[in-house]
Amino acid sequence: MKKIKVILKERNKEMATEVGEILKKNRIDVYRTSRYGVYLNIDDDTLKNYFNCKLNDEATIVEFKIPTELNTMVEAIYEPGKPAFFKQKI
Amino acid sequence: MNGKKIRLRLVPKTKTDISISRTFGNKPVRSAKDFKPAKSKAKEALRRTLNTGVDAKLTKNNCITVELNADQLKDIFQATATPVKGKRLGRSFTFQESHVSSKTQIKLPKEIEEVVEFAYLPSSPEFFAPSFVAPNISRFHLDLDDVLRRLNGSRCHRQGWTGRNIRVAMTDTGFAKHPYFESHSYDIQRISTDQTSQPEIDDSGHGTGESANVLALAPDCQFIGVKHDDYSALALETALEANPHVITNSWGWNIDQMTKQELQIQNPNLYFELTDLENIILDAIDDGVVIVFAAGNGHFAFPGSIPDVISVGGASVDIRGKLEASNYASSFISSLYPNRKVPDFCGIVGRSGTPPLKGHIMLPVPNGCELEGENMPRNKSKLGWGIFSGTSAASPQIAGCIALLLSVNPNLTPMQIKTILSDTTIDVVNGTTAHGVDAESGRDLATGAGFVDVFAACIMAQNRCRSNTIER
Repeated sequence: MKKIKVILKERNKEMATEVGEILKKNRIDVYRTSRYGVYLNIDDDTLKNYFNCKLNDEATIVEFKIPTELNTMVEAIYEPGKPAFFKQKI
Repeated sequence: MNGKKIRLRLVPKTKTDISISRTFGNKPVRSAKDFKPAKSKAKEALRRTLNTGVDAKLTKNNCITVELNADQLKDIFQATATPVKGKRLGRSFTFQESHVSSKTQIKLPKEIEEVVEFAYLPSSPEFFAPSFVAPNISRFHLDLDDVLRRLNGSRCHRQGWTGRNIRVAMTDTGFAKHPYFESHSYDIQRISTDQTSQPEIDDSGHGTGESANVLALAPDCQFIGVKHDDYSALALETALEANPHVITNSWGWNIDQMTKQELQIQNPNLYFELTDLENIILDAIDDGVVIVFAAGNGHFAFPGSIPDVISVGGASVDIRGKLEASNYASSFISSLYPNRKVPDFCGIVGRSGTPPLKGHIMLPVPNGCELEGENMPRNKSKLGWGIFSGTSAASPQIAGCIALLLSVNPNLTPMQIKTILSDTTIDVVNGTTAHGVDAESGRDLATGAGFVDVFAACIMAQNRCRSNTIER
């Protein structure tokens, strides 16, 4: 499973809810919606089939296609990366 | 010093007259009963000890505890009590609790020599649980009071500016319930995101330790710790739902050496993540939330480089309190946001690489975490403390300063706060940053406007409050 965020063309909670409902109909696990987007857990097969994702050797998304039913509302999808915490040990 | 009691333990001779001290560690092993102090000798030893004029008690296992002052120790046991001295941030301290080294030779007086085998000074054992007070160590470091004083926050506290009613959120690795926080009765709310759980668990120690910087500056703020793993947008959205005035973040990506166009081509996934974060952050600032980020430890760090964010760099503090640009902190011109110079100003960040440590801070961390015992002597390494720093420390320090400013004038906007802090800094003119930039007189790339003086900033905020009422 991958953690994915769908980001919207507009910052709009209603739009996020609508996108979330469409994704749920496609049996995708939506666990949060906000004005900034929709948070989902998705398996690799669904990611490839529904979003036409291409992954590189490190399993990072390098290309995707927004499905027709979402393309007026959705700008992009991404998988969050781990940031560095700026601690000083030496 | 004479008023402070010193505790000695006397061990009477054994029933069998077998010497405990001579047999210790030697074979053959004898029965433990052979070494039990004789009750009759213990009673006689107690009587003779009391006759010397000291307070003494018999314990259940026939030993004697003695309480005496330094003069009695010298007169009766011919041992000298020497106060242990330490130095911290230009001031000498005498640690009241450490009168006598455990290596001090104790000589038994003739009156008790016949019945007592030896005497010793009990030394403090190492407790394998976090201590609510930072351990005393001789290695130079700053403590949280030093952080408060150096940023001139103690003068704010004397004015009653302590961050009361100001909500400060921090997104980090977790926020343990360390006794240090409980002993200060801080108002701490720990929350997790939809992807994290148990915010009080902090395997790294980073969030727990660095959060103490906020609370040292703003002890009466309402602190909200949001556990962040690897989902930054979710952490920020969760923090914003708690309706904070300030959010401090000690993390980022080392990515700001390319333009947005270059990033989109090279790493589209990261490009969209950073775009999402930028949207969340800029909206929050528009809504009046002050967003503070660490500038990075030699990183070209995003989101600290977003122009409206307060980006915090670092100056180190030596034993005399002198400031210089930290060789561990970032200073750069952004490529993602042309003409944006990072940092805006500085908090305290250690100087790296050459002992003695400069500006590293003793911080509370949970037992068993990655940072426990960091830069500490081995015998103090399991007390729930570590000495570390970085712009990770500077960012929450400045968030604490902002809470003080907001307690003076709650109507200040994020941009006004940035301007006030910039206009009241102490110039840092020495030192070179991690990016090789020299500090100079006046505003410079190395330390931005300089080192924050929160008291001067609060006075300016107070004056603005009097002259101008702004609706938030």
